[in-house]
Amino acid sequence: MTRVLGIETSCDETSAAVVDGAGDDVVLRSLVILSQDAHAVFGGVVPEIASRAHLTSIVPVVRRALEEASLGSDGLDAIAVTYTPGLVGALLVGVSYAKALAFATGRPLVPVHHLEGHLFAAALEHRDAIPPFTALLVSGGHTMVIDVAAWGDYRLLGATRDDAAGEAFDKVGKLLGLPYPGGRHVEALALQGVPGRYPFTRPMLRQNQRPGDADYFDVSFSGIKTAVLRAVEDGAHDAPADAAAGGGSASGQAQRHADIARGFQDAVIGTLVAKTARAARKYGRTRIVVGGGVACNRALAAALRREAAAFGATVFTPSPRLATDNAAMIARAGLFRLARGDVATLDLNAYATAGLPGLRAA
Amino acid sequence: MTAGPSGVPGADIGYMLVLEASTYQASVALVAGTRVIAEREVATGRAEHEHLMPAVAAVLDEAGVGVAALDRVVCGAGPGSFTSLRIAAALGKGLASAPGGPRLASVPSLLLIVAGAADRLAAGTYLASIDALRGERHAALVRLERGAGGAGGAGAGGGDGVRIVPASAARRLPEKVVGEWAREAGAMMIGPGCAIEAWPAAHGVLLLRDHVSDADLESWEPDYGRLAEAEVRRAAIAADRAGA
Repeated sequence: MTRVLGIETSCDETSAAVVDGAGDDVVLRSLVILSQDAHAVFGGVVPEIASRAHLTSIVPVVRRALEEASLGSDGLDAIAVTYTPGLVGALLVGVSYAKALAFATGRPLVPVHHLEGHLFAAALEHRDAIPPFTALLVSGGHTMVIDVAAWGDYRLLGATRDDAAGEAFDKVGKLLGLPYPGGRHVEALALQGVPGRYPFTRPMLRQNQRPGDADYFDVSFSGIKTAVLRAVEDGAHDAPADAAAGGGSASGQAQRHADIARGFQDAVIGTLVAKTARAARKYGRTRIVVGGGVACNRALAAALRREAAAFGATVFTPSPRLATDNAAMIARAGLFRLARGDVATLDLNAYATAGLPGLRAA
Repeated sequence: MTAGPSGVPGADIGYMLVLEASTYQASVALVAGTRVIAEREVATGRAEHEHLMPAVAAVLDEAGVGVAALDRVVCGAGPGSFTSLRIAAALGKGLASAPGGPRLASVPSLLLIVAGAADRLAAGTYLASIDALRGERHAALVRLERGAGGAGGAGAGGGDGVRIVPASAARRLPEKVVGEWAREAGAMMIGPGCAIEAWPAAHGVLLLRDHVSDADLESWEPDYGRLAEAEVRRAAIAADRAGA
């Protein structure tokens, strides 16, 4: 069995984890995630503040992950670290720390692409969340539909042409006056909304789209964000049923915002589910794996399961702590990369963006 | 404490690995007693590859010294380049986190400018200074004294009786003001882009033994010399609101 320490510092979570195993028989020994709350007052992640916080968090976070795994760093077989994509200053803390620790302990250093980590996250909890499957990666920075024929063999089918799904949720949350990050608040507000009062167009989804069309699997969320802005600004004027919801009173506005949240969420989920189902059908996949922070959205998971059941597919979603940024998925992906001999030299750098290894165009 | 190499003066001091990266001209030095065992200079600006860690490995390899034999890993404490300081600090913390690894320590980076160039400087007062961007510079007055102590003597840290004495705290000031400060103090300006061109050099730690401070492995961070820009803007907004 191989024991791998994973380190993740790509954005505003400092995380470390230990996995133990071989092939797809892998056990998560520990996972520590320290989320930075300093960014809420700024309405978004401030890269320099995130980088500084990683530097003062990384030692205690790694130490605790090793303690929970009942290991010292000399008990590890390798150290895996996220090197891209993300905030370069933040990534550099994890990469630099991991390089030095790997050098000092004589262990191999395994560079891991953050998005590949998300592909592996569900497999830590669901034994059957393994290739071949259709992957929907939805986070604050990415929205991609990928066909995973095997680990390391990825075909990019579709991606966002502008905002990521999570980014759209956060921006709409801001438009509705909700705290940052807005994703979970929009979801909670949408539960109180009436379906259909704001029937926003499902972005980049047309009945006459055919496989081979450039937008068949792609998504776009900037348009719906603008539509939400207009709905919020126009208030009762654009909402036919608004009078029934209370008109211009304070409670009426609250209900209107809930209805807008519901309309927005239904439209985004409608598009994501349709595109993912198209991908699974086209490649004959019976497994669908969701990864990224938006995978925490229960309405998305429920809608995807309903759609997948129609053609006999099973949907796997990680629990929230494995859906959002975490080092367990980095350690798990690192275990795979280590087995392939993908180890880094000491000049490993961090990159804001870089291609996912093994990813090819459709 | 790990013993230094036999035959090296002041061997009881042990090996210190010094990582200085407050500017884009970083350096790594392995020192023991009063000697520099190995040293590398590294450019740390935007690049495809990161070169500081390979320099650490090269220095240790050249000296035939393993991480476990290090007594301390000393990071330049800043002020200076946010990212470069942090890379050095994260490397230092990684080395210090290894079982049996060295203790983490720090040394003020502006002192390393004068100490690193001491062999070509006369006794006197210097204003050590580096670019702080946005038309500002980090600066501190530093006195270089000669004949005040013997080789390896307490407080001297180096041979030939050279003594480096901080004469002010580090400050971040507009460029013009820094020049005025140097004139008023009768100090010669030294640093990258100054009348006396010199960079903070890791080997300068040999003259700064009294100024090497043990650092808490978990909580230590460099003195960045300024807040993050978002914090500055937020403070300005808060001040405006308070004044309104």
